[in-house]
Amino acid sequence: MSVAVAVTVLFWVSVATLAIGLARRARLWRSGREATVEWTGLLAVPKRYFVDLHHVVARDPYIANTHIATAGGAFAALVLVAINYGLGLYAPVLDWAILLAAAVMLTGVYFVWMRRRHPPLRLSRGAWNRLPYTLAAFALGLALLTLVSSQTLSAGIAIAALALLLAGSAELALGIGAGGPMKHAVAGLLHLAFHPRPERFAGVRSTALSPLALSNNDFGTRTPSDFLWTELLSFDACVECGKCEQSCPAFGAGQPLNPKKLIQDLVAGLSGSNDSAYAGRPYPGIPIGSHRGALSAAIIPKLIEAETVWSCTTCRACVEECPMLIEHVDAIVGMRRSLNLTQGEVPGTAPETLCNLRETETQGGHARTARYNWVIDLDVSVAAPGKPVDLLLIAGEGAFDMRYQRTLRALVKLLKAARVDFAILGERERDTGDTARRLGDEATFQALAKRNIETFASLDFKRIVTSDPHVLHSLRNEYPALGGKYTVVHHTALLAELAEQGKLQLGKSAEARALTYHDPCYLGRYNGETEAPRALLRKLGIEVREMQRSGLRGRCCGGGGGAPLTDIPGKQRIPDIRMADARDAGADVIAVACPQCTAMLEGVAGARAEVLDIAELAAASLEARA
Amino acid sequence: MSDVKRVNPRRPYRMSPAGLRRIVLGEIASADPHIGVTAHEAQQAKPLRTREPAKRWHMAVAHSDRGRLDDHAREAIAAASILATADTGIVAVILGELHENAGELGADKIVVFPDLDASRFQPQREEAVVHALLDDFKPAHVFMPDNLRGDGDLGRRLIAKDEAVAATHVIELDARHVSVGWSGGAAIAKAPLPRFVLLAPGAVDAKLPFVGAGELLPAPKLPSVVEAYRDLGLEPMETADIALEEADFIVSAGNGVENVETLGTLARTLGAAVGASRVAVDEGKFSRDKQIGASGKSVNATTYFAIGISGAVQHLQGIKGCRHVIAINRDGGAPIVKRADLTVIGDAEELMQALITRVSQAREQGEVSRSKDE
Amino acid sequence: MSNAFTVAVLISAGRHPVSGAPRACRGDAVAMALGRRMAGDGVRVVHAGAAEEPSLQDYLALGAGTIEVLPLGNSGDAVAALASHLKSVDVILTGSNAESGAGSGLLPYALARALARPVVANVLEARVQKTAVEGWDVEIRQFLPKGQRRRIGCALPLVIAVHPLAPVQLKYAYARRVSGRIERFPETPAETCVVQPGWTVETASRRPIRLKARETKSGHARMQAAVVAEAKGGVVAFEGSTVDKAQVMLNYLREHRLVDF
Repeated sequence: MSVAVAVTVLFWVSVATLAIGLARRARLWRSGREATVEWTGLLAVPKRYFVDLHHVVARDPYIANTHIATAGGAFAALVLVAINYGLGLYAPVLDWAILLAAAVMLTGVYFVWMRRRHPPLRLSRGAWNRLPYTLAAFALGLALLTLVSSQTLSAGIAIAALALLLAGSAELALGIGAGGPMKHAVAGLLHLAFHPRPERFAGVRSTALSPLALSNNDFGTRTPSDFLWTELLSFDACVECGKCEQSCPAFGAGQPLNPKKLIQDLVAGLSGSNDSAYAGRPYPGIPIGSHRGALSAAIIPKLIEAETVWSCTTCRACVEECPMLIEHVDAIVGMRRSLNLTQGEVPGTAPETLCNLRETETQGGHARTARYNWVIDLDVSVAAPGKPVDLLLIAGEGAFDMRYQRTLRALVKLLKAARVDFAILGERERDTGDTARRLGDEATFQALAKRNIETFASLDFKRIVTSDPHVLHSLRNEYPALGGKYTVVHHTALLAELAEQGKLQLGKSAEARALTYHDPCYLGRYNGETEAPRALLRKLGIEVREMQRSGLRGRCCGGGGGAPLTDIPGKQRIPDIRMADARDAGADVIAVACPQCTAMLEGVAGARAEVLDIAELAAASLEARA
Repeated sequence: MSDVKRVNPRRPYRMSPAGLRRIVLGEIASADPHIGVTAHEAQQAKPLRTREPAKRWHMAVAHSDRGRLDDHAREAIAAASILATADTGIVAVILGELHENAGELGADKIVVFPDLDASRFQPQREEAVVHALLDDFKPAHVFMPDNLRGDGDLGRRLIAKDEAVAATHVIELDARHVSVGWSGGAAIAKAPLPRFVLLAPGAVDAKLPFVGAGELLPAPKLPSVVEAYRDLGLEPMETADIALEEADFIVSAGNGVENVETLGTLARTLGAAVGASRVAVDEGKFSRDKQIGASGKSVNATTYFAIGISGAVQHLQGIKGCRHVIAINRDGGAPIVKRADLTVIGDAEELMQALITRVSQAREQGEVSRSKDE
Repeated sequence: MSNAFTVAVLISAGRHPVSGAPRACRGDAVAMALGRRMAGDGVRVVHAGAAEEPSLQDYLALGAGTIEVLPLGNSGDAVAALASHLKSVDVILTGSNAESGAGSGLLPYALARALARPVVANVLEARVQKTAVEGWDVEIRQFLPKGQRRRIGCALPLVIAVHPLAPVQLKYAYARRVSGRIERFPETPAETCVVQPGWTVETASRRPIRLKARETKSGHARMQAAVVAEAKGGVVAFEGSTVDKAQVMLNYLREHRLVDF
């Protein structure tokens, strides 16, 4: 039997193995919930791969280039092998091409090997550490076979080459079926085709949670099979690069959450195994090896501890960093929903807050009439039916906080200075339900949203302005699914716009101290608004000293997702870490644009930078002018 | 110690709202334990409320606490006497020992049952005893403190037994009416003064410009009652472990407290629960469940010692419900000073040590003087 | 059901003190949680009033399972209706005070009286156990102020009024609200046995006025009072030795009767 025929046989056996493995894995994925998918997504894979995915990967040029060489070389080689050997052409020209592809791949593998010699802590070890060797075996095997086939080939070399090729092919072919590292290639490409948020590939910052059909008794994700099948597929795409854990504020603070481990646990649940094969960093404080799951077994607490899902601030830093575009936050909120809606199991003071929301429509159990007490001397009109107004000002929950009232008063002053036609919502204002939703209390969120939508329907306004990015996010992005569609602007965007149009005459800020700007997650990552606040600060003559993590990649203050309420203990507090970021940037003032960030950062003990809302800085410049 | 009172040239003073130092008349910093009481008040003898013979009666019933009546019990007796006409007598029924003169609190006749102490649970016997007195005196109105020390319970038992018209948690009253909080305090509801009035704390000013006759009646013999309940006794407790939400006396530490040990000793000496500010908790000196403030617990202690706590708004939010706030702070400009009823400026550690010493001495002396009384 | 004793919890229409929104009365919800701990799913949950009462939905969410509703006639007397409905129940749990109306806390006492049973109030925990001789016995942990706790033993049957600080966790789950049931019972004719004062509710909320003895004061005394009142609040002791300052604090404690030595 000639060597070439052996390669052909090996090729087809590998293809068959891959197909069987894929079929078995696909059956697991398909045990998830039905999802509406566009099969045309398969056609979009190359674009999504080369544009959207590489946009993320390219943030680390070393690994981007390495991956292009390795995967590109491997892909080219496989296609060529398929043509030359799979179809039995055995054309020497193609062998040269295969040799070239293998060489490219081998170059890439060399860099993989280099990185794996001293891998950063975020990378998983275990099976991933053997990849440079198996991939090298594949490339070397191919190279040897093609290089020497034209000459006389000794049996020994042929067998060695075939053995290498076999080892490499096994890694590639068995990966998907056996759940090896190479499953990421197949699952990743399919994930790109059937992504649960396909609009992400159309340039939309798709960040809204999808509503639960409560009337169909849909109460969230209790078992792995309660995920959409496309979500289960997405978990298999994970390459365990740990970019998520590196960016996770909860992980950084030593709380028991590691997004990478979470996804790997869900993979373990999908395949009905335990987490002992996981070779990355654990959830801080929770040892590896004692958790096990099954497709239709409850995830919490056997597979994942409840405190893990309650540590998340829903800041989406993990999603932003994930090269495989996995949606960690959706998974976490899904599990929270089940805990909350079916068992009422919510830690910390969150149950109290949820109770307040149900009973008073405010988070703190306040009277709705008290929300605008701070405005009493400012002569502001209150929105009412039949009273048209350009802008509706929604203060949010910060209105009950004495510190934040300073910001709100500054904002009102600015709106008045710009002669904007605006009105407050007054006692008609309820909480938007954003916090309830992040905490998994979809029922309370939907009830509040429904009542708010009715209120808005009774009023005549053109736009909504709010200083609370959480309010902004839920009104702008999440209410539409429930029938409320509004134009919502953040106060920084509105002020920047007014200043640009010349309606708001800002002076130069008297602030001489070094200043940095902290991007609220729900403004930056959730809504992509990172420029307006900076433009406004520039208008004030303030130069922003950027922190290392800023803009879309900014670090969370720890105040999102109801995390201050669930208050899962860690080694450090997240706002302390953020304050240290500001110190590292040499800032004496942190400009903020969110009531949560204000409260969290002001809560940092000891010597720290002063926390000022951009509205406060802008309003102070008015005084300086006057 | 010499009997000559020496005036300390650096004696304490009050800061008036205008920021002026003001030494209040009659206040002398000395070892006299009752210097806070102005001489004027202490010296003047009060007149008898009435000299007319009693034609009808008001009754006040309350448990004593280690031989004394607490503010709440005093308020019940005061209510009975303030609302009494000149021909109404006040009979005070005290369950438990009594080492003070209830006449000064407004009672004309006093019945004491030393064996019916609040520390024991014998509701049926108490019910029988008070019921017998109700039959004897046939009081027009019965006033009791609505507390959880046994009076609220006893009052309700008496009301249920007589199927009487009654008002509980009474927050306001006059000669004809009582008012109570309605629907959890959202509104106020008024009704004619019923026979049984169980008073919420603070509804009455216990300070009276008069006294009662204060005649101590011989206690009737206790009836033999077979209780349906078995009193298995009080649980031993460690004051420092009391949940902050129900603690009446809290010693709380902030940034300025270096030595947690000293604070613990002070808390034990004063019989207080231990709390902490967020900063102190963040520094790991105290566990999270000790944290007082907006992001921690809200407390309603009668006495709150804020030691080395600057008094951030969030912290002050958590102590809104505290009646007396005493602060020890190095900085006279700290926000806690505005909130505190008494602020002592100085080093936390030294002042805690001094207070521990002084309180321990006072406790010993107090015990000596009390045993002398008996 | 392995329990040979029966437990019922009485629940009332709760109202939030600030918003007035219907909700599970906090104290009754705590009692229900304690009842579930004592008897598991076997606990009966009983409401005297309208089946349409919106706050019942909250109790379902908190795990009531099935709520038995006894409609009240015009007499509106819950005690008589409950007494006849719960005659055979061994342990009747209630909250300490209702949230609607006066919230007098008299109901458990009146009910115990009507059923000729003992009643224990301010209960934090209750454990029913078999006795050697006469069946069932309950050991109760009772709340007392200032962190004190008392243990009380009592034979069944009895009425227990639960203290709101009872160590239970209220777990609100929307799914249970959807799956819970409300079972209506026929109205029972009843005589009144709790006399209620004729309350008139004032429309505006205000601060209650403290009852004070009328006092005729001399001009000097009034002046004195005014001076002291002006200076009231915020005594600050800057100077003096630490011993003096400690004395100042002790004096303050004594002056306001905050310590008993």
